[in-house]
Amino acid sequence: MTDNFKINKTSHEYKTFLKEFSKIKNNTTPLIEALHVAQNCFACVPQQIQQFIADELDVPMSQVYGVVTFYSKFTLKPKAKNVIYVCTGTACYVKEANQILDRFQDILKIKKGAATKDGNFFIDTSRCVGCCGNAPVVVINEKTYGNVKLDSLQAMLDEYK
Amino acid sequence: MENLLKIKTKQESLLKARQNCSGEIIDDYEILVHCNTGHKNHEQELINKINVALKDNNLKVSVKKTGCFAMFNVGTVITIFPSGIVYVFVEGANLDELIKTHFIIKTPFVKHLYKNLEGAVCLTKNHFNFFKKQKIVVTKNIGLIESESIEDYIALGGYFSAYNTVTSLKSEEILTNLKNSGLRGRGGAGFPTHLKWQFAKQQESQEKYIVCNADEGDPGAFMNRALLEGDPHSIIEGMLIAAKTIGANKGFIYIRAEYPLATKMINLGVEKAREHGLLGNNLFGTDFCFDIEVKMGAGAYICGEENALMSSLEGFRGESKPKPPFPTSFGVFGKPTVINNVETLSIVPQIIKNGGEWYAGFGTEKSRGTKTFALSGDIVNPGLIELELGEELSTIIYDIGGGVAGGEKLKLVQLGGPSGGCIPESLLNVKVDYEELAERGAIMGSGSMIVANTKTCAVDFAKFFIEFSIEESCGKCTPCRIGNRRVYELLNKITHFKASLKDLENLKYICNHIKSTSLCGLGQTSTNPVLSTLEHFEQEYINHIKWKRCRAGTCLINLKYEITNKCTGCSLCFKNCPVNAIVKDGNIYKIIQEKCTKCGLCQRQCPFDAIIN
Repeated sequence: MTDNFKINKTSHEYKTFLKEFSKIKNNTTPLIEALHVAQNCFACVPQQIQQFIADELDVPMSQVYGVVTFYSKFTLKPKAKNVIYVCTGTACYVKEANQILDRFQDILKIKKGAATKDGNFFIDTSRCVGCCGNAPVVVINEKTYGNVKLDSLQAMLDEYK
Repeated sequence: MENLLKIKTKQESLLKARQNCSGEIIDDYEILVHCNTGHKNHEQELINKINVALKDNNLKVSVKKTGCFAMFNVGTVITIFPSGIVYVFVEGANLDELIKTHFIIKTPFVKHLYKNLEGAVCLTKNHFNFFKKQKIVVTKNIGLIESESIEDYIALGGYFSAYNTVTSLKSEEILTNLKNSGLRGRGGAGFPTHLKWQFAKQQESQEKYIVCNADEGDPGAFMNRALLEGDPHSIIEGMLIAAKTIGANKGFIYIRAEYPLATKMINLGVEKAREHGLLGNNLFGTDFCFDIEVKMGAGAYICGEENALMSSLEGFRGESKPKPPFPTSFGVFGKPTVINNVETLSIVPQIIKNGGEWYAGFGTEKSRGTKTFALSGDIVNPGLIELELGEELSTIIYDIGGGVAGGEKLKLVQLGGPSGGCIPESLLNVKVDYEELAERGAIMGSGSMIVANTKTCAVDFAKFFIEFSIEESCGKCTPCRIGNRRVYELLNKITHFKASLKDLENLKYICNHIKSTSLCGLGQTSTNPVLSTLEHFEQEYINHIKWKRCRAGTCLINLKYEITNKCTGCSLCFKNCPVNAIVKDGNIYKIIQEKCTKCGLCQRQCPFDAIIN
């Protein structure tokens, strides 16, 4: 589980992380919140940060690593600038979300779970996002697109270029 | 109490006006924009545009955000009060015209009015066919109150049940009320709520907890999200009542990370309640203290299961534990804990206010009350619905949902998510309550209801759910972790037309074993989609195996006929191919895949078994 990440104490990300971390530090069992903060700041939870959280919250490193690898929201490696999730909940499945995923993979020339070479897009399937009334649904970064049509995908991607 | 009354008196007339809308435009003064995750996230933009349009016309109208409209195929919706006129597909175009026509000429702007399927124009919500057969109880505030405003909630009588509970009512009275109401847990299992509270109350402990399970992970379910976004205070009040009844001083709301808007709203709700002295120390001048902390999940379906939820809450991996002990005796941090679903908690204030008998007046003998459902899939009107238990399924699909989308034929309705089962078209007259659904091999579950048309293959549908369970299994017990993988492989074999009838027997055998030997609810119910499709659509499985046929056409993409070197060049296949997809290739023959319609005739004709798939 080694990675090349080094804490840069002067970086903007690290400062925001510390600021947000101090806010949730005194919650009841704040481990998962702390990891959310780290994931939001660094786009992943690098080993050094895991160690930092383990020390600060006084929990074993094994528990931190266990939690990071258990939950799908946390990643050990950063994804990409723009993260595309194709919802594969049941309603989206019925509305043929698979075709949407295939088309995205064709356009971006990557397989799901991977990032494009320029590091601009990362694509994966996601669990139900609860917008089944608007199926099929695609989430790009924090924005949710409902009633997605196959021929509108290129236009959606162009927004993020 | 005085504070509550003050707010109520101040705000009451506003809310009364919203409730009694006539559809007549006299002096309208507020616009409610229905906000909902999954529209194009442009509500704020829209509000700004509306404000500009209002300013241009010198109108004094306030614009507010409210919960979802419950109907999801109508774009962004706004309701104008007190006339109550509903405009659909309000995306920014014609906005100025709309405002002018409505507020200055004082006639409805017909272009953005909704029309029912038969063409009748709907002015107010009451005219929508979608709402006519519903019984709206739990979700009554959604779309009516400004979701960020605690004042609106109080004006409708909110927090008065909590006040009575904390100051005057005895725990026994609350429990009797709940018992009379017949309320059963709305998370899926349907355990009587009063019993759960009673068990926790009987425990002797300094610390007790109340947990609201807002980890609505079932794909196809969004009822809790609508409640969290549109009416967060009903949940907080429900928790307050529960806490007082069992003697807890701390509550947690465990919400899934996939719901950013709902998380924001519930956090805001908790903050506002604290500001108004409805959470915190010495509530309503008594010595009762209660506070709520909102905890966020991190994307694990299993955390909707109560034991896993508690592990996650304590900051561990969300792994399940064997039961007993049950949470009511050994829960969060080892203390007695009541874990209730969002919907269960949010109905409690109304039961305390109106009495248990009132609630028991809805529904059937064994399944009392109303239930919300999330209707989606191949349906004309997808949306959030609420109805009395015991309604026929066909009423939901045809009268409320408007039938199957695109003029296709209905095949099945899937209920209860990955742990549920399906009801085929032939059993559509089944009554939707806990008992009857269980009898048909489906469950009510949390309330997801997904309609699939004849283009959906039953085997592939079952495979989809198993794939989900594999991904979401916590991996602690063997039957669930490994068994589901084996089930997936068998289903994959069937959808690739490579299975034998022996495999079908194996499939049933493994499914039943997983069901009886798994540790928690996820594993025990993970094979239900397979078992229930097997029950209702066994012929479809056999068609895949014996005849290499997939009626729905979904699996055909996996089917590819090829001629091997066993071919002797007898030309029988060449002569029999109905679409001339077989051509000579040297001494033997080959299949042109683009032309092949996968009828399988060549394979059946070949005397040398040279054609494989």
